[in-house]
Amino acid sequence: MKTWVSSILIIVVVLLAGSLLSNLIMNNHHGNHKSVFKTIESKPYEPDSIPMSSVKHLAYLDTVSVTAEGRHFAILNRENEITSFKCSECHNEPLEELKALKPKMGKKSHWNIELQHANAETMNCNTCHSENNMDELHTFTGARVSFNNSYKLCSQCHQQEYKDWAGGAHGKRVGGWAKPVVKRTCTNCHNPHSPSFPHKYPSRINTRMVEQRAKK
Amino acid sequence: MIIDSIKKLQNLFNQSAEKVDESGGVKQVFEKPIDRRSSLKAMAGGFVASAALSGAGCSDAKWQEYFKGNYKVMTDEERKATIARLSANYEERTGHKVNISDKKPNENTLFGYAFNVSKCQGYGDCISACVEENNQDRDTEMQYIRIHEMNKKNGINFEMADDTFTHQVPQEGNFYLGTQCFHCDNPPCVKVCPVEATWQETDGIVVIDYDWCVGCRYCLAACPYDGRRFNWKQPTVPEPEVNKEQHYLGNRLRKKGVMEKCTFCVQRSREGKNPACVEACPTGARTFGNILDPESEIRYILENKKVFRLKEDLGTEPKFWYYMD
Ligand code: HEC
Ligand code: HEC
Ligand code: HEC
Ligand code: HEC
Repeated sequence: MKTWVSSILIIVVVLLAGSLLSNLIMNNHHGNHKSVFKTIESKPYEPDSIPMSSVKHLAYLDTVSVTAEGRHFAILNRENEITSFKCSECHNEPLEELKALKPKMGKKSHWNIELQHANAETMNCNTCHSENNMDELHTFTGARVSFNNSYKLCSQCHQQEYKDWAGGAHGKRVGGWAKPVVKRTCTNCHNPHSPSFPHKYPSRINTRMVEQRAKK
Repeated sequence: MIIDSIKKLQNLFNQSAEKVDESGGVKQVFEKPIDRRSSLKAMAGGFVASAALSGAGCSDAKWQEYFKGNYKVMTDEERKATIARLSANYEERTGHKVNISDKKPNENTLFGYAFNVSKCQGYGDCISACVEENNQDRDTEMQYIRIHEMNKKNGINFEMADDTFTHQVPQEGNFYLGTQCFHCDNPPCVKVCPVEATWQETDGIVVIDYDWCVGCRYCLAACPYDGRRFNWKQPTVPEPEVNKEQHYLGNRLRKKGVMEKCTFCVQRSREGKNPACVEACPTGARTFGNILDPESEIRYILENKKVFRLKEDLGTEPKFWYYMD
């Protein structure tokens, strides 16, 4: 008799719990939940009403305005950052003559620069640098490009990365998320001579993670 | 519902008056001879409450601080008042000033985040920046962000991932995927909170009132993404390392027994800055912005990349997208 009662009780409890659970699940899966994209559509953007600006986070920066893929933004000035600029301080005579001086000077001038980018058939120093005017770079067709705009060289071979950079899916912004837009340029992140990212040890490791997990 | 309120009460009562941990660092809350939970318990017990409080030598400010309401429903004046009390208390204890903001969400703003799985190198600079920015407990090494090292052969598989790696990165054949609070548009954590101590602001940020939280940890269980953290002990930050630029709902100092988590650095993002993790990342794998603004980088990503979210079938609608190129 007793087992009979208790089994009825158990069944009732199980049924109750089941309906509660299924209610929860139904709510989650088939419930009329709002989607973020609907929220985006339902809120037409009114730019002028936004007082947000990142100007105060940018005040100290030295920037250059550019237009890429129809977007206007600023990038960081490079010419003031490159220590050996202006190059014409030494490159005031033809390269051949400078090279002839080399034995006298001993060490190679740009000993620290070694190309690890594509291969020798695709690229050498002259692909980007201009023998007759070292203070500037040039494209395949000989168009002059300043060191500040070196992204125009990279875009010749890396169209997808260039488009994503202009749009915002490659590279990163400086200052903040609000306007005006200032971005890092390609050479802020990639050394043009050996563009791949370095291997290194993680900057912070967690020695207590395992312990924390056990507690939860 | 009855069950709910019973649970709520149980919660309030089960937590016995915990002794505030005095070891090391700065004590980050009002000194509490008796805290809100235990005072409720005392009140339920009879008239002893007032006696206990006055016996412990409570000043007016402290009294007001114990019995303040939920930040969510406070008036602007009440918000200003509690912030004034908190900052005065900090200055009294340490001799240093903190700047606690109560800045509200900006109009026409809904924050979203994108993570480029093929760019993250696993350096972990984001984690470091986050800990420092948000005054996380140094003793237990609390971290809001986890970077999961995954093998390309296995794809995204958290069971086979490692988020405690200490070797050089990136490792051949592996990729790195970061998780944190996703600020879901349908946040399950908010639904289960018995005391409404966690909610979603109009700019999409899911916040916690650390002083209203009773520490029941329902939200911790409800989050499908391991996005929430609990303070098992009094969190400590050495005074000189305390980030003094704070927000009431963000990186202000927490206490023992409450939840905390990523707030998209509300103290920064509402000022137009990027969250600390985004700013610290050297690879550009992290993008933050206003998803309502069609010219924003985050919108470019949503429209031009094959984006996906974790456990999309749950209907939680995270505002945190992943993509690879
Ligand atoms: C301190 C003097 C000095 C400065 C400044 C300098 N160079 Fe040179 N550079 C040389 C000399 C000398 C050589 C030739 C021989 C050698 O390699 O030592 C040379 C060679 C080169 C070459 C040819 C290398 C080769 O192997 O064919 C390039 C390209 C070059 N420089 C680029 C630059 C650029 C670009 C700058 C400015 C950003 C610059 N240099 C600044 C001294 C200088
Ligand atoms: C893919 C194009 C490219 C090639 C190929 C290239 N450079 Fe450069 N180089 C650049 C760019 C762009 C900069 C400016 C980098 C910056 O913004 O910091 C630069 C900067 C320099 C500088 C000044 C900065 C420094 O690191 O001292 C020197 C010197 C230089 N290059 C020499 C060379 C030499 C020598 C070669 C051949 C071995 C070479 N470059 C090949 C694109 C190139
Ligand atoms: C003449 C064409 C050319 C130009 C100009 C050029 N690159 Fe490259 N780049 C290549 C080639 C080819 C590769 C190798 C691609 C591969 O291995 O799949 C490469 C590879 C790379 C890589 C990947 C490296 C790695 O090992 O992961 C990066 C990053 C890169 N380039 C950046 C740049 C940047 C930045 C510039 C502009 C300063 C630039 N490139 C200019 C042709 C070019
Ligand atoms: C915020 C830093 C950053 C900026 C700015 C940046 N990149 Fe990259 N880029 C990366 C990282 C990180 C990788 C992935 C690591 C690697 O391949 O070494 C990468 C990878 C690449 C690759 C290899 C293929 C790929 O997509 O993985 C190319 C090519 C490249 N970048 C070109 C560019 C060009 C061109 C620009 C400028 C228009 C640029 N990058 C700007 C960080 C940056």
